[in-house]
Amino acid sequence: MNKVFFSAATLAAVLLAASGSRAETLGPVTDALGVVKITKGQPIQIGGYSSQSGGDTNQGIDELRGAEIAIKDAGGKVLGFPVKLLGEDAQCTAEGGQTAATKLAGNKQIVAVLGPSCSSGARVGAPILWKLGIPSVAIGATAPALTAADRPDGFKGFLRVVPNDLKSAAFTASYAYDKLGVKTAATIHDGSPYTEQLVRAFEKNFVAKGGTIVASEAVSPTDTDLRPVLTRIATKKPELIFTPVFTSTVGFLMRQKDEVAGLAGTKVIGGEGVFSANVIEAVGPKIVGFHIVGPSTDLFSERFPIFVKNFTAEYGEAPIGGFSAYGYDAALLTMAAIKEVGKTDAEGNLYIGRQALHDAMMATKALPGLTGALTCDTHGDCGAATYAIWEFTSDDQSSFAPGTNPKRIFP
Amino acid sequence: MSEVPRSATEPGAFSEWLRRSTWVDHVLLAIRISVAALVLVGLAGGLTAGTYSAADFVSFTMFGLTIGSIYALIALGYTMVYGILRMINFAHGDVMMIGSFAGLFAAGALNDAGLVNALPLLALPLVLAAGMAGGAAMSLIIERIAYRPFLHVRSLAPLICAIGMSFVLQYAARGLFGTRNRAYPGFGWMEGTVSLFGLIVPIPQIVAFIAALIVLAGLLALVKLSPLGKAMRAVAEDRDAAALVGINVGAVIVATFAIGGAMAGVAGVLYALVFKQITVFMGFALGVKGFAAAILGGIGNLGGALLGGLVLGLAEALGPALVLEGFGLPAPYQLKDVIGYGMLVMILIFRPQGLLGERLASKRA
Repeated sequence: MNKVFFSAATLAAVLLAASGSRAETLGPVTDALGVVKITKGQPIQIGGYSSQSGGDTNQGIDELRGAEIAIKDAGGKVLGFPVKLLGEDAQCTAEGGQTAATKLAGNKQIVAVLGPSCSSGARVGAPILWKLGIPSVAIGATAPALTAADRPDGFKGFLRVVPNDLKSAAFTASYAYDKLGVKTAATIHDGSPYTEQLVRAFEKNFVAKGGTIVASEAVSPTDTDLRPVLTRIATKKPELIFTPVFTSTVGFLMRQKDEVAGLAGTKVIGGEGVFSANVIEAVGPKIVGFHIVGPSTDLFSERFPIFVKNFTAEYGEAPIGGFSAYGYDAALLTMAAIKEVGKTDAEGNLYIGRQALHDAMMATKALPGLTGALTCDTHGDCGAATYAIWEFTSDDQSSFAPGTNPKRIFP
Repeated sequence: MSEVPRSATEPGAFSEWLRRSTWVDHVLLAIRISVAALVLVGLAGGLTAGTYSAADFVSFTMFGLTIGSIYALIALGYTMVYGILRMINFAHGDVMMIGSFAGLFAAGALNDAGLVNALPLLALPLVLAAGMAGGAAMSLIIERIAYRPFLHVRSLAPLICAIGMSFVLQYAARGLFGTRNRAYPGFGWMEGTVSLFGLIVPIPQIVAFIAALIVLAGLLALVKLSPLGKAMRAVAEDRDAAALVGINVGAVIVATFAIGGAMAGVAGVLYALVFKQITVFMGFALGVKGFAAAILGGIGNLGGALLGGLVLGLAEALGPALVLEGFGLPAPYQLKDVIGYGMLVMILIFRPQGLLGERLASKRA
């Protein structure tokens, strides 16, 4: 009996020691989460996971190419050590994120990971990496929950350079209240986490500014008849309706809005989910004057056009939208932090403390990135908000071109 | 079902019911009372809340009738096939989608030919005809490929096959037409609204409602008055006996599928005229609604399909405003389908034969 108790106690002690502290001293560095030693002449390894296959392939490939350009712009080296980017495919799914993160986590030389492209992959992948002390910098995952104050511990090592959806809500609320001078607004979401979180954030910001939310409604994505909802909203007489719902719902909403008495003059602002040519067909003639809030590459730093030129020269094709710029900034932020915490010994070997690297990344302030100045908050949101309000100017589908249709009207 | 007490004052009636009833009766009675109480409280609250004006309610009713008539047209297809084959044709919603796309392409062709501008009033019947032809043709193809081989087989195979056909149609259409939302043309004169008794009603709603009524009347006349209708009723009554008296059962089944498909095609075009955009996946949800309407009215009963469709449409349009509003629920329209399907569940519990029931010889019931 005593023997059993003794072995159990030993086992417990060993387990405690193993899980409680991973502190390690290697060369000149002592770190709570472990130290990566890079022998002289060997590369610093940075992992990357993005959508390399599936529907979002173009986005994912562009993102990691952007990161490669950032490494190239830095001369391919940090602290005299070459930087190597190891790309993995995270698709745009939870399973893909898990596979890629597990594969990257198996490589003990990896100091940080860039990616992923999608929130679903980040939800699974980021904790796998952080469990081993590897911080990750997302390039496309925008879901607010990933950097919420009450996020699980597994996401404490998660940062992102792409703006949180909440920033788009704050931007829209400020446009509505400060620019348009609107005092009453109504919102409609479709029950999906994305639209609901966005709508709630908009309401919070709008009310904080002094506005009033007169109606907070919901539909389902399959609803076709929105007249009753609109009638209900009309009874509250809002000056504006904010609804980040998707194409078909926007189509029904805009077509039916004017049939409801009292809503003909009400402005509608949609979300970036309908930033496409298809919404023009779905809405028809009523699209003219429809506003959406969406990202704008025009508002990236003045180095973006040069980046586009370098990118085109390197890969033989222009980058799609702004995805590659987020990849660039993720790599930039990571390399800046490595430069700050990396220490060499007398033999010229490099030592990077994992906790120190993470802290340095989280402490990023006013780093001049490609998408704007990067400043991380305490929860890991580092993205520079580059949103704009766009207005559709024509109902001709073939005229879709960001800049002319829809036209940027603010800022 | 338990016997309803003749009068509460009559001595012994209540105790007699108590003696004869089981706990199941008590539970069912409790459900009835609580549902009735819920609805009454909601109604009282909704009416006293005063959120909507009388004009709003009339406008909801008009809309409920429009969408209800479209549900009714879809429900007819389910009910006719069920009446004759005792089988649920789950691909019916997608036949409607095909009809809708046939109408879309016809409208595009007419527009290119300049006919829409030259003869705007003629364009609508032509587009409807295209929808009917598309729906009927698709329905015939499905019958030939997927159902006829199972005609004399007693198994679940036709049902599974129907579900499979539904997916085949959806994804074939996806491959052919793409997943984007397609805008439906409005033929100029249909774009506006008219003023009816001080109410502003969009013209497509009125057109859809009237067209649905005309088509329904035509169908009822066909089934009640024509020799084909008589044959259909005979096959529905007893397939073997009908064959014995010289009715070509196979031909009647083919005709039934063609008519059901044509109804679905009309429904698809009318739906698109009201809602102005269609996708290849719209058939499923509408098919389920049509099926619910058929069950609600009493599957196998044509009048029941009409009534079920209208009741479902009205419940969806008025329910959130009338009942849910009274409970002060936030965003009541999200729960629209809860009312429609909740009603269906109640019907299945308390009146499994549907509102009108199936009018058949007693041996089939």
